[in-house]
Formats: sequence, structure tokens, C-alpha cells
Amino acid sequence: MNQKRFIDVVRNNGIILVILLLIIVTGIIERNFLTFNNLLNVLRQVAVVGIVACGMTYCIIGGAFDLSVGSVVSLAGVITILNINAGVNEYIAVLYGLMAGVGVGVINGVLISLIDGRSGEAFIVTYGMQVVVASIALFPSNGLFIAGRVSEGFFKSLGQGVMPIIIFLGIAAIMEFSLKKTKYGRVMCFIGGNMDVAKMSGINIKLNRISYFAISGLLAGLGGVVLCSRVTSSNPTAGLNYEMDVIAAVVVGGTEMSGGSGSVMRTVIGAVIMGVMSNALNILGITAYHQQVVKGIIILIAVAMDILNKQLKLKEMAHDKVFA
Amino acid sequence: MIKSLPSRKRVVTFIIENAVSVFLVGFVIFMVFTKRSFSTWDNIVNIINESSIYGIAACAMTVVVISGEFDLSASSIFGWSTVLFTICCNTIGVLGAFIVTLLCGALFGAFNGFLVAKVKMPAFVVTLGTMIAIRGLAYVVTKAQPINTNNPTLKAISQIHIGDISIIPMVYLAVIILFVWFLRYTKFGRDIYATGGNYEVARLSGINVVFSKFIVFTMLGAAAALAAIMYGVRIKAGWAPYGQDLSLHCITATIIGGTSMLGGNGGVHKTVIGVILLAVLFNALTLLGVSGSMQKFIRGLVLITVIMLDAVVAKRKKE
Repeated sequence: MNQKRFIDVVRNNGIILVILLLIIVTGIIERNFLTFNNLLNVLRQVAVVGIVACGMTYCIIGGAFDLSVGSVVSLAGVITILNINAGVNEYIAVLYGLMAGVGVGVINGVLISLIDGRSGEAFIVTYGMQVVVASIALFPSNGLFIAGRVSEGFFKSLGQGVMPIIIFLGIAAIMEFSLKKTKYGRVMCFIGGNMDVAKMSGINIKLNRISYFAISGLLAGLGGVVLCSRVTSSNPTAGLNYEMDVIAAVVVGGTEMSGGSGSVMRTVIGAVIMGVMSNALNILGITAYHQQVVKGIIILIAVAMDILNKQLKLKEMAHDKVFA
Repeated sequence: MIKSLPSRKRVVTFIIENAVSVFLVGFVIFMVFTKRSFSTWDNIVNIINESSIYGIAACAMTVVVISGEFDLSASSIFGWSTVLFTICCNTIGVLGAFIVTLLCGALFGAFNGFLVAKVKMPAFVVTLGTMIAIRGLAYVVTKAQPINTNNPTLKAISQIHIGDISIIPMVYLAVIILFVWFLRYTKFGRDIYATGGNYEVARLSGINVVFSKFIVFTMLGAAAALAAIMYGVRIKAGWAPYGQDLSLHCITATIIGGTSMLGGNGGVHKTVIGVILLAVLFNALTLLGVSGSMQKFIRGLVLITVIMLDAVVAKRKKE
């Protein structure tokens, strides 16, 4: 029995174990790697991806998908910095940035619930939205950087020190709680697991699904604000390919792409592990382009293992039934 | 399907179904009358040449969509193939480069196909993963630098013309004929329609559904590589970021043409019209002086619009 449990742990967390191995090896090779300062630094780096990934987790559990988050990160940053530079109160400027995220999310949600879209349709629609939003982010500055004219205050504090980490973990905790312990969260799993049955049970599918996209948009917006607060400037292509990191964090964490189950806490682990891995690869002197290849392959392996696992479990269950 | 609907509903459905095409045709007529440079012979030749490259990949994308899936990694296979083709042209000659690039494209496609058909992973995750990895590979190999080739054979090939038409539209035409024949008159082609229409029923009727899904991705990989080879013939260079909007463009062209995202119907001949309409649209926008980022904006908007219309039509038909 003990052996079986060990195999189960390996099976369910295979990709995490492989990456942990890489981390340990790097730690042995490079003494600076496993220091408190470096790890704190990594946490700070993953905070933005992590915040966005929490929203994406909701979307995926709810049986949908949001590819537009990367562009929303860019757009929210651009809008916030533009408003701050125009002399708008910084609280309101940040609010505008977040509103932009919610706006894009609501549009995504409305479009997808109009056509009762599952992950496939959601994928394509939000892919189109990604292109649209990315070009909107380019318009105000013609694609150039905008430096923020602010040196301290509320906006600046969002990206400094441990603040991004606190925001990240705080949001993750709230979201995990509402996923596991509130009716809203349980309904989300229901809708993601079987939309038709959920509909017949009298659940307002449309409204609920719009809310997942809105949350995903809101958190992407927040990620964008934190990101541009860290560097006090906005880059209209800052969020380019962000969705890849975000999706990698979610799938490595172990949330299933088919929807209906998953957890925000696991996404947090996924995000941190991916961040540590990226840092380890940097320390080992591996270029960003190589890392891109690695990231793509990790997404593939994580999802493949997930699905093979499920098939294996089904087979075992059938086997147990026959021979019980 | 449409014929069984009541007449008023039929008309409304027809209008929704063809809204984008009707709009685009109207736009073309408007352009012909307002912009003199638009309807010149040179510009028409330009549109044909321009649309042929992505058109080759769009034909294969249509087959994937008919089988009920879609593929995002075609754009990365394209970028990688421009790099591979140029490198091989510089080392082993054009024929070798042609074969190697085509095989490599097919291999990447087969990898996608294996994961989707056999392992049963969702196509969007698989092709997202391979999209990132293959594009990364192209960057790694070239260190993000563009590569040129001065291969004389390649130059000679690129100068083959019939009238004003270069070799690229001819290859495109051959690909169209091949795919139309494949889909209409071969068993494999019919199997793909059956697989896309209803996977479970097709499986129970003894159709090799796994092979059908596998082969469509393989073909798309090869077609994306062929498109990249044609691009190489045209500009004699390879660079990792080339063709980033290929998948988006091909899916849009497929849906505009009238192949449904649901799978099981449509055809390559329809996509040819979609490709032409898109090419004319963006050619016209360029002539009107619309900026690059604005064109990108419109590109995304067109995609969202056609997907939404397609899904709305499908929903109406179901009701």
C-alpha cells in the first residue's frame, strides 16, 4: 500500500519532481542559488505572472480559457501610466488600469457566453482579442516606452519590496478560499465539469462565466499595474507572450485543461516552480531562447502526463471492478 | 440543412452566414471606384502573389478545421521552416533543402497529430506548446539573426514566370487541386469529414478516426513548410519571427470562406475565396495608408467577428 501511495505521488506530481531535481542540482553547482535573497527575488519576479495565473485558473476551472491576458497586462500598464502622467490622482489611475482589464474580460465573457463556447471557442475568440488589445495598447504611444513621472506614493509602493509578493499570496488565498468553501466556487467546478447539467440545474451559466472572464481580466490588469509600478514606466509590449508563462504555471501546478477541477494553491506552486526553474536556467547560463523551447516542452509534458494518468486510472478502476 | 428552415429564418441565416463576405465584396467595389492604384494589373498580380504563400497553409488548415480541430503551431512551423530552408540552401542545395524542410514540417505536424489523435490531448494546448517550442528552436538555431542565401538555383527558380505570374501561385494552384481532389474523391478525405462531423459515430462505423486526425495535422505541418519554402523562394532569406500571424490568418480565411469551426463540413475551394478576400482587404488597407498596428487591430476584429457569426449560425441551425 505504501508503495502504491508513493507511485501515486510521483504520478500526480511528476513534472514538479523533475523540476525540483533541476533546482537541487543547480543549488549544488551554484552556491548563490539557494540563498534567501535570491529566492525572495524569484518570488518577486513570479508575483506578476502568479497574479495573472490565479485568474486564468478560475477561467480554466470554469471550462474556458483566456489567451488575452498578456495583452491586458500591457494595456493596463499603458493606461495607468498615461493617466498618472496626465496628473490624475494615482488611486484613480490605478483604478482605470484595473477597469480596462475588467472591461476586456467582460467583453470576452459576453462573446463566449453568447455562443455557449467551450474551451476551443474561448481559445480562438480570446486569441482574436489578444491581437485587438495588443494593438490598442500600441496606439497611445506609437509603440514607444512611456516613463512614469512619479517617484513615490501609493502607485510606486505597489511594485516595491515585498508588496508584489503580499498582493500575489493574498489574492491567491482569497481565491482558493472562495473556490473551495463558497457556493460560487463550487458552482464554478460544476459548470466546468458539465455545463449542460449545470444549466439544467438552474444555474445562471452566462452570468457565472462572464464573471470568470471578468476576474481573469481584473487580475491581468492588476498584474499590469504591479509590473509597471516596479519599473515606473510602461511598455506597450510588456505583456507579450505573458500568457505562455501563465498557462505554464497553471498546467505545471496540475489544474486540468478540461475544466471542472483544480486549485489556485497548486497554481501558486506552479508559478513559483516555473520562476525558480527560469532563474536556475539563467544561472546555468542558458539563453532566453532555449528557455522558450524548454517552456513549450514542459507545457506539453505536464498536460500529456495529466491525460495519460487519467486514462490509466480509468483502466485501473475498470480492472478493480472486474477482479473485485 | 438550411433548406428545411422556414423562409424568413432562412434569409436571416443566409445574411448572417455571409455577412463578412458581402461586406468585403462591397468594400472591394468601393475601392475600385475610389482608388485608382487598386485595380491596376500590377496590384492584382501583387495580391495573387502575396496571398498564395499563406493560401497554401490555409488549404491545409481548412482540412484540420473540417476534422474538428485547429492548429496554432502552423505559424511557428512556418518560421522554423524559412530558417531551415535557407540554411539548407546554403549547404546542401535547393533540392535537398526542399526535401529536408518538407519532411521536417511533416514531422512536426505528425508530432502534433500524435499527441492530439493518439494521446487525446486537447489540440489547443498541444499546438500552443509546440508553437512556443518550435519558435524557440528557430531562435536558438539562428541566434535571432536573419539568414540570407545567394543560391543561384534558387534565384533561377524564383525567376520562372508565366506571363506576370511567378512560380508561387502555380504551386498554390497545384496544392488547391490536390486538396480538393483529396477531400472529395479519396476515402481518406471522406473519412475526415465523417470524423469531424461526429467523432463517435465515425469511430463506431469502423473509420480509423485516430489516423484521420493524425494525418490532418501532418498535412498541415508539411503545407506550412511548403508555404515557408515558397516564402524562401520569394525573399531568399529565413528569420525566426517570420509568419507570426499565419495561424490567425489561415483560421480567419477558412471561416470566412464558409467552413464551420464545428467541423464536418466546408471545403478547400471555399477557403480560396476567403484567402482572396482577406488579401484584398489588407492590400486595400495598405493602399489607404492604414498603419501596421491598426491593420493588426482590424485583423483581430475580423477573426472575432467571423468566429462569432459562425457560432451564431451553428446555434440557429441547431434550434
